[in-house]
Amino acid sequence: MRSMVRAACAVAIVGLVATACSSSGGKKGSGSSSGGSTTAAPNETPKPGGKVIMGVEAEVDGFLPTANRFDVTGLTYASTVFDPLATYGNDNKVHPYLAESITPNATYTVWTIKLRPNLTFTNGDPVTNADVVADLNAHLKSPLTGAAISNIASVTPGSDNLTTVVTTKTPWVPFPVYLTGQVGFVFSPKMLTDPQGSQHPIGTGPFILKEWVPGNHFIATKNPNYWQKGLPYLDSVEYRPIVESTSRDSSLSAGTIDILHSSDPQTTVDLKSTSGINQINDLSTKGEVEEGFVMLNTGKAPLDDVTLRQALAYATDRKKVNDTIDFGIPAISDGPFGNVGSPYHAATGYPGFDLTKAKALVAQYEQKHGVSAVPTFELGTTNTGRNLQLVSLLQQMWGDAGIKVTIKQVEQSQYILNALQGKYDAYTWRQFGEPDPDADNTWWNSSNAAPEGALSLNFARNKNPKIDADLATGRQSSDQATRTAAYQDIATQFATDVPYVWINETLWTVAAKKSVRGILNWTLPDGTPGVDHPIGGFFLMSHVWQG
Amino acid sequence: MNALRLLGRKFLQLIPVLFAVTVLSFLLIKLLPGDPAVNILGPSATKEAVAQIHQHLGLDKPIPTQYLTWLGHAVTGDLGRSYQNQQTTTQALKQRLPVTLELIVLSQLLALAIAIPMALIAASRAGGLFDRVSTTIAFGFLAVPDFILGVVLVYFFAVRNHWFPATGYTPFSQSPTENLRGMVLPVLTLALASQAVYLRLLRTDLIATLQQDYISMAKAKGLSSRYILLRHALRPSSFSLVTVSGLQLGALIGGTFIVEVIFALPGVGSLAVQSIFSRDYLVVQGIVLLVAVAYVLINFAIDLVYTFLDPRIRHAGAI
Amino acid sequence: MPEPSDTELHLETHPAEFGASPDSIIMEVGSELHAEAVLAPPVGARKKRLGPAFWVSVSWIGLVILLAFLAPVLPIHPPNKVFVGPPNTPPGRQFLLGTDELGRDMLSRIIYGARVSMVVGFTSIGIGLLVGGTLGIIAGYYRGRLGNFIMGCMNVLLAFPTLILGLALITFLGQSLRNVVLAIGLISIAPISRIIRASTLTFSEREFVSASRSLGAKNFRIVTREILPNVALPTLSFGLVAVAIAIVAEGALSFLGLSVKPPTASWGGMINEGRALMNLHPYLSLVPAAVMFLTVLAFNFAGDSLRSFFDVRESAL
Repeated sequence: MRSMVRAACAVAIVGLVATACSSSGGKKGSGSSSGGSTTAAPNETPKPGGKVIMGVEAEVDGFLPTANRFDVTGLTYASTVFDPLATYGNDNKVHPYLAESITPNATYTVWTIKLRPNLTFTNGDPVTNADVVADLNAHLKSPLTGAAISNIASVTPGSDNLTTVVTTKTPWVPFPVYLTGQVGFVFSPKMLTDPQGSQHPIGTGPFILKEWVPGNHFIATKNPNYWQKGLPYLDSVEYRPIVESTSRDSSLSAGTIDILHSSDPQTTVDLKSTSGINQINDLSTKGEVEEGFVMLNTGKAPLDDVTLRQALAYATDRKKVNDTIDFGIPAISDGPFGNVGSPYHAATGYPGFDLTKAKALVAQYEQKHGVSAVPTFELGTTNTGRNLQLVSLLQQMWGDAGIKVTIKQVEQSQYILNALQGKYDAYTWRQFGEPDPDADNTWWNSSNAAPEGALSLNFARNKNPKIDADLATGRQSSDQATRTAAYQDIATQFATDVPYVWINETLWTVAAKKSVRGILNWTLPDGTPGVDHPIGGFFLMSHVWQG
Repeated sequence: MNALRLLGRKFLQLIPVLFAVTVLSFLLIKLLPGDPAVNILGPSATKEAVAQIHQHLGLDKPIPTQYLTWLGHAVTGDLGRSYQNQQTTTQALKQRLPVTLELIVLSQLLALAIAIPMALIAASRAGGLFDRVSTTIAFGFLAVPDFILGVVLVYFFAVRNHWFPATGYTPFSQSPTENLRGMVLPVLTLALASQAVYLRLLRTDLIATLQQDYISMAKAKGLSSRYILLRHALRPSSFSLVTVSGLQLGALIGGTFIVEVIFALPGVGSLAVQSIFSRDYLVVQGIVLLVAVAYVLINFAIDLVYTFLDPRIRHAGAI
Repeated sequence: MPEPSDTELHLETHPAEFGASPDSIIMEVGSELHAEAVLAPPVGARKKRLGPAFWVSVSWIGLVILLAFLAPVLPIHPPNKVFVGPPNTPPGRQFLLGTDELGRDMLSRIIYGARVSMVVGFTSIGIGLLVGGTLGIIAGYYRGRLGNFIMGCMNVLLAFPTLILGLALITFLGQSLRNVVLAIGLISIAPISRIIRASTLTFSEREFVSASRSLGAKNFRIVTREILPNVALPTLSFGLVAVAIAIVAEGALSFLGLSVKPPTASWGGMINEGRALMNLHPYLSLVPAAVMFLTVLAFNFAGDSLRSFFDVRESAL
């Protein structure tokens, strides 16, 4: 299943597996070949030249940031031809990247973005603030990206031709986060007027699009005038969409591709005993990860009754599900924030597995609604093999507690539509991997919960004024401790409201031939260590080289 | 001449078939639940955004209007664009058709190359050991679904032994060797099943032909079995072979999706599946039109071949 | 010239050809003309017998059907109960065919899967034979405008890419056993009608039909008394092969995730679920694949044996 909307660069520290220097503690690591690593050892010099072929999990629609949705694969492709204004550093903070500085005023209502000097697009045009202004305004008008940045009041040119001024409606402390992702990629406004603009990217990135045959391959060659001197190392990169993860794994084992990313724990298992392959995953991530859960429609019966929702949580043996479906590899989830390294995670009292308690709650439910009212509803999922196994297992588990569940298989395109319209009871879902919880505003705010039939971005239709207040605090408070407390409260609210039955965290793996180096250990232009690991399967190709 | 006129009439009758097919498919996919706008926008689809996209793509007009618009464009060669990536349907088909065609043609050629010699041997000793064994093996391959066969082949020939790539397609113009290497496993998957069909068919025909009077006479004349097989038996038996090959060709376009998905081949089949799932209506219409035209043309071509090869039909009007 | 029914029979032995017309327009062009020009009966042809291949196949099919029918009363684990044993146990003493990823008993799931396969196979082809057969006989007997119109409609369905038709039907109708049967049944109507029509054409030309007609028999009587019994024989043998194709088609639908919904066991579904774990636990896919393989093989052999037993050339006289 394609992962849901993600912003770029969630902060994570890779669990370097099976190498002596790993200090990721006792976390169950995935297998990897011994010795060698995809980092460049401190005394190794990157070799320029060569080519890398990467297998990705989906095809992208195009390269226009205002019109084409960039999920992980989208970001992977886009980061070859574009650069974002900002990016995360290894310190879990946002650093300017293409921008030289991003500074707020005292009340966080006016942000000043200053570009680096002497930047050029690949068509020769210089990059000025006019481009940034045009880009951001296009995003504001875009049906795709506008909603996420609707808190922007205006974007105007600043005092010189490198400066842009962004004014926001409310104090917006985490605003720079949005500039690390889709909204932050700087592209030439000429793409907006080109009817085939999404196929002709014009950016400042390390590579230049050479050839794109959708469904087959994407080839980009080195940008000789890249603003980071000495980069990229590679002469060209090629991406091949291979949707079936087992086919992708076989391709790496067979040597057809050099590197792959995968959100399927199967990959870890498949490649465990393959020699010549290194694997990195974001198991011990120090930041946000996407969670896998069952989303409940709190807007209609029977799941509008919190007793039943809590019963479901108690009836779910997450460890067993994780072990059976995902080989026990990913971490178990108990809330919207990564429980390994997210600063916003804390104990919330989310129900653990307790079948007795579940049965008691079901009895309570039946008493309230009539003894013969055995709770019954539909559990929906998409058509992948793994999802079907998952729902079969959940059906049995919940059946043990006395809850009757029928399974409904839904196609992907209908799936999202049904979720939007509230035409579902319970759906398996993956989300909340936003690097900063502020971006989760859209999904959790009660103003976004519409009745059934109307499109609502708060899919679970959970309306909780405390959560609304916490979201506002998180957005507007400049004190990190206050923000953290607010988000931790949201997680606590979820633990009692149970609009989501948590299962496990999405695990991303990047696997590569041993000759591919440089995925880790690089430095940001401002000298700070860059995020030194793939984040959710995404990493920058500009510092990869063939050993 | 009568035959030609008959053929001409038949050809004209096919136009309404094409028309009916496109109407049917348009209605069918429009009636499917789901919304391409939501596919484009993903989870952040607000009501306004969806309405905006509907208007942009012309999806807010009534269905008959949409169909006529499509038809009007189609007769001028404009098959519209993909909602997802803005690529024109014609361009997408142009990129993907050669892949599927190569897959089909190579697999059928391989199937014939296996089936014809085996059928000849089996028929010459009908009922013998070779015949029975080859029949069983043929049926066997027919009974293995291609999604198992493909995976097993990949496991043995790509993963365990790195003889062939597991996935991917290299255009012939880029590297003929890589192209052919990449085609071996998928072609084999399709060919093994097809050869069974050809084998059975040809074997039965050959046996029937070999029982004809003129064969006994040729034998009495002292001609060698091999000569008889190849010259006298194979030719007339090849009619049905031609028919079947042609029909297989037509049917396989769009029928290769399983092999295409397993081997990540960017062909028409995988495009069809993808486009249906993402409700990319115009692309699906384009593919349906393509397949229907192929079906119609191939049938017509087979008729042509039959007419000119079989004197009995050619002179039918004279009977 | 090869005899029509041979061509059709062999064409129908591959799922990919489900969209193919076994007798195509050639039959229309030539049928009125060459129905007379059928091959002379083989000189010195031996009377065929139903060999051991037939009986072994029929026994296997009978066994499968019996087990499928008796499934609820057999002493086997419930097919959908998870963790009756440790997951991914290979076939062995305790679990004859092993357990799957969720610890469900494979033997039980295969038997219950047989129910799905048998129902899908027989019912969908039954629908195809009923509707397609009727249409085919009408088109073949009455020919002229009615016949042409019917065949025109069938042509439209045949020109439609099978995959898209199947996908659209299931998506539209929703996923359930009933709808899978309906979808495969609907798709099989056009090819079956073609075959039966060609068969009918052959027989309509026979002397016994014109004799019957000159005796004053009404059309309906001719169709039911003379044509139907003769068409039934090759149809029976071809029908068995078609059932095999329908069973594999259900597997193909499972591949796309469009077959019966979980946790219902189906052979195609089991094969597909086990596909991802092929490297670690090949038996998960291979065991249901083997069962499907043997069953399809049995149907093919049975159909083929029947065909040569009822050799149409001989009974055509």
